Formats: sequence, structure tokens, C-alpha cells
Amino acid sequence: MSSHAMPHIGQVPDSSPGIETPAATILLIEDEPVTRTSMAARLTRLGYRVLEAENGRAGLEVARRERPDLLIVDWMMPEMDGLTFCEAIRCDPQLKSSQILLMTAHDTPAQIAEGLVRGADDFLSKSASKQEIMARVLAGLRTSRLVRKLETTGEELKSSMLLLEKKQVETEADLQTAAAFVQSLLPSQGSPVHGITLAWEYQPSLTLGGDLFDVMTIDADHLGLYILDASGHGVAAALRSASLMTFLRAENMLQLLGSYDPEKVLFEANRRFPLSADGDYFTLWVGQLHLPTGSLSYASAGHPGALISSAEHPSRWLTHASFPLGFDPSARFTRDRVSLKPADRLFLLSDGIYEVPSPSGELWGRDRFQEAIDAGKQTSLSATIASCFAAARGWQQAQHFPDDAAVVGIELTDCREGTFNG
Amino acid sequence: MDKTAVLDLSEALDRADGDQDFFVTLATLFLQESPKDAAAARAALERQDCAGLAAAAHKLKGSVMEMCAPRLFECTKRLEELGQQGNFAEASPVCADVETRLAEVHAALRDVIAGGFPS
Amino acid sequence: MQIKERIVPQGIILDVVGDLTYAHRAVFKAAVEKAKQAGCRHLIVNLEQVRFVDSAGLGLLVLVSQNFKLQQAQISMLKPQSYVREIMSLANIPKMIPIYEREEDALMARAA
Repeated sequence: MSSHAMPHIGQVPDSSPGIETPAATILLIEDEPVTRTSMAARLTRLGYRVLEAENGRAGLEVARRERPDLLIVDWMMPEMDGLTFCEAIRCDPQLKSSQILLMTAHDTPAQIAEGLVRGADDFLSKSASKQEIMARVLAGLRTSRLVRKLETTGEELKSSMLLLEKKQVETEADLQTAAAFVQSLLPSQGSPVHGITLAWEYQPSLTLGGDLFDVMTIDADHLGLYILDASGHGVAAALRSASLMTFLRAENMLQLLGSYDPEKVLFEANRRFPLSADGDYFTLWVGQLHLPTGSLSYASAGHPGALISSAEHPSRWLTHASFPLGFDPSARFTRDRVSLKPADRLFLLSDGIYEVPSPSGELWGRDRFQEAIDAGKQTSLSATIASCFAAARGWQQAQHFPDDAAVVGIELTDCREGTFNG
Repeated sequence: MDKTAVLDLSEALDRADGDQDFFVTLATLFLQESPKDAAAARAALERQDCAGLAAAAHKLKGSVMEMCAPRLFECTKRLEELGQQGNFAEASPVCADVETRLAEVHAALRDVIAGGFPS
Repeated sequence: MQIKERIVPQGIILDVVGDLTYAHRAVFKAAVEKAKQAGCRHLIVNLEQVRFVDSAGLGLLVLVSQNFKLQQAQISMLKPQSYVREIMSLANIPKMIPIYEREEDALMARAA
């Protein structure tokens, strides 16, 4: 690298003292000393910080070290000519977006074409006037600034993305943990007590679901059951559901009421869980099964998802219109009763299983759900439930349910006291 | 620029943005470097190295342009072309021309360096 | 979902087009708020062009109903489609919010 007699002017002229606008750095690569000295001086006079190199190889080293804002390189040089230098820059991952002005003795269209193809951004004639040099250099620097800004933004975006992805993974892991916890609250499969078969299938629409249920032993003679549906989806609904589930625990009700009388349970729940300020609420169906007799008493707060299926009769819904929890603080929930006989089945289900749309938008519906239940009478309880889910998936022609889908089946295998049906 | 002139001083000074001291520095550098380029051209010609001839002539042409010496520029340019064409027959007399005119430019520059710029 | 407002001597009719769901709750809330600000005594929600109401939509309607009752105003619903009507019935809504098949009937109704 040669130096020349002119002192470098570090700052852009006319800059106020104390306010430092860093001058742009230009790397000049030219083997001929007189030309190089002259051009370097010209650029310095224009206020730029000029670095010099005698040949392409030295130029690459300086470029890597200094990362100049603009490179001006002579077309014809020994060992590595200007075009080869451009190619080398474009191959270098750290330098490839640099702005390069190719210095030519005369520009022919053929030269320009070749220059552009091999990596030059613009051309500067050695005989150019001061104005033209300034114009080309300014243009080159402008582009250089723009490219750098883009690169920085690109880098920032990339690291933001990485951060977001990391957080997403963490959130997803948290959700999985929460989902596992909620899942652990659900009843275990199999038989809770002698004489009862229990089977269920549950597909929350997202990682966490808001439709929950339980089957609990109240005492030696009684089984308590419920299914609840929190309005909305996702984490918020799931949290609210978990809160209601805690309230509905057998131990809690026994302490509060002394029994799991459905009418009283709903009355208490209605007082305890009003409509939220955002309009969130629960629907809830509660039942109590007297094991010795098979007598099921039940009541519902707006939850229409209870179906009885028996061997001889077609299935029927245990539903009548009622307010969801929180709609009417003074509501009373009438208790009904039905007698279950051996082989009778009770299904508790969320609307997510039958409100699935076909590709054309038609809902599967409660009637078709009923048909699926009736079709499964000869098969096992779990097989019947599985076939319902399969039929629903077939209807919507998709595996994933848009809303939480739950079906709980309880089958009376025998009654403990005496025999029924003779 | 007058193509027949040995040295267009006002143009050359303008190229240096009027900085006389800087022009002197540049001229001194030229006096130092140009004989090497001319010798390299002559040597390339003698061993019939057209690439070498063109390169040396090109290099000289560049520095000559900075000095604004039009007559010398023209024949240096011609020498470069002949070198690119591999036309050694014609290149020989042109190379001689270059050497002669280079000596003229040297003399003119030394005058300016010693005697200063005409006012 | 879009809501057009019709001001009549007896109150304000909101013609709702689209789905009354969680995603569109802001639009519905804004329309109701606007009616309230205008001092509406009877808000009639025309559901003729509503295909679907989800639990959030239902909850909103109930909230509005409770809210209006507190202010001695009333809300009614007009011409729900069969599926929407079924959802409303299961949640016992007709006991809380009157449902009408004809606009004239809705307009003639007085607050209880």
C-alpha cells in the first residue's frame, strides 16, 4: 500500500464541531501509481476516507479487514484483473453485497455488459470529470447504505425470528404440561365400581380443552357424574373449566351439600359461577346414579349432551331447555329421573362431537350421532364410542375436530340388589 | 485538448483541482514511474510478448492521461492497440515514438517543477 | 360480519349479516354500545341473515340482555334461522329474550 502526500481529511467538510458524521470509506484498487495517487487525492478532496491497494489480492485483504462502503477497482491489472476481482468479491460471503465501481479507460457496451455479468455495479471512466466522479461515487454510496440497512434489518429479523421460535417452543412445552395435567384430572378408563363399565374418548380442539367430565364414587351406593362445557376455546376456557371441576369434586359437594343431588349441585354452581364480564359461562349436566337400583337422577344447566341407549328401545336424549350457569342467578334446575337396566348405556357428550361440518358446511348433527350410537348396540361400549368418532371424522373428512369433542359412556353391567327384568 | 500539444498544463492543473503542490507531487511520481513502464514495453516488444506489450502500454497510457500530455497519450494508446493485435511490425516504430515523446514530456515537466507554473 | 342499524320510532333494529361468533364480538359490542349511547329503549336484533351463533355469541346476547334489563330497556330477537333457534332453545334463551317472527310484532312489544 502506498501513501501519498495529501493528508487524509477524516471528516466531511462543513460538519459542525462535536457532531461527527463519519466519512464514507472508499477502497481504491489500482496498480498504476500515478493514476492511483491522482484518483485517491480527488476522492479525499471530496471528503471521503480513502484506502488504497496496488492489486486485487491486497484489495481483498483490505476489503475483508476494513469493510469499505465502496470499492473502486481498475479494469486492467496484472495477476488479478478488475473483473476477476469482482467475481472474488461476489464469492465471498462477507463481502458479496459490496458496491463496486469498475474503472475503465473507455466504456464500450461489450465491456459494460461483461462487467455487469461478472459483478460490477457501475462504471467510472478514468477521464471522468470531477462532477461525474462525485455522481457515481454518491450513487454507489447510497446503494451501499441501502444494502447495509437491508442486511442489518435482515439480521435483526432473523434473530427476532429465532427468539420467537424459541419462545414458541417454550410456550408449546408449557401447554403440553398443562394439557397433561388436565388430562390427569379425567377419570381413568375401565370400571370405577363393580357393575359399571366406563369408556370415554376425548379430543380437545387445541392442546388444552374446555370440555371436561368426571365419574366419581360418592359413597358405597352412589356414583356422581357430570360433563361441563366452558364457552370459548383454548387456555382461558381450560382454566375456567379446571376451576369449576375443582368445585364439582365429590369431596367438596359432600362437604357443601352432604350429597351429589344434581338439582342442588347446579343451584350452588349457578350461584358460584356467574356470567363473566366478557360473557363467558358454563353449561353443565350433572347426574347421580344409585347403584343398587340403577336409578339415575339428573339435571342440566343448558347442557344438552346426555343420551340413554337401551337394548330394546331406540336411544333418547335426556334433555330439556334450561339456562346455562350464570344466565339467571335465580334459576332453579329441575331434577329428572330415569331407571337404568342392565345393558343400558348412558352417554355424556360435548357438542363438539356432533357439530362437525361436512366440506359443504352441513353439520353432522345430533340425529346422526344418535344413529351411530344405535348402530353400535351389539358392540362393546368403547367400540361404539370409537365408531362415533370415526363416523364424525368421516363426515367432516378431517382428523382434527374444530371444537372439543368428548363422549363418555357408562354401561350398567348388572345391578347389585336383586335382578331386573325378571 | 489540443492533440498535438506536448503538455496541456491548464487541463492537468484543473485535474488536480488547482492544487499546484499536488500536481508537482504527481509529476514527480510520473517522472519516476514512466521510464519503467516504457522499458517494460520495449522489452515485451523485443521478446514478442503481445500481452506484456499491451499491459505495459496500457499502464503508461493511464499515467500519461493524468499528466494531460496529448501527443504522448495518442501514441501510447496506439502502442496498446498494436500490442493487443500482436502487430509487432507496426508496434516497433510506434514504440520508438513513445520513447521520444516521453522524453519531451519529461523535459516539459521538469521545467514546470523547476520554474513554477506560468501565471 | 356486518351490522346495519335501522332507527325506528319504537327503537333500533340491528340487521346482522354473517356469524355471531367470538371472532366478530367486537363489531357486535360496538353496535350495541352505539345503540345504548343513543338512549335506545328497545333493541331488536334481526338474526334473519345469521347462519351461526357460537357460545361467545350467545354469552354476549345474554350479557346485553342482563345489561339492558338493569337500565329498564329491553332486547328482542327477530327471525332466527332454524339452527340458531335450536341452539337458543337448548339454552332456554326464549325465556330471557323474546323471539319474534315478524318485525311488526317485535316493534309492538313492550318491556315487561
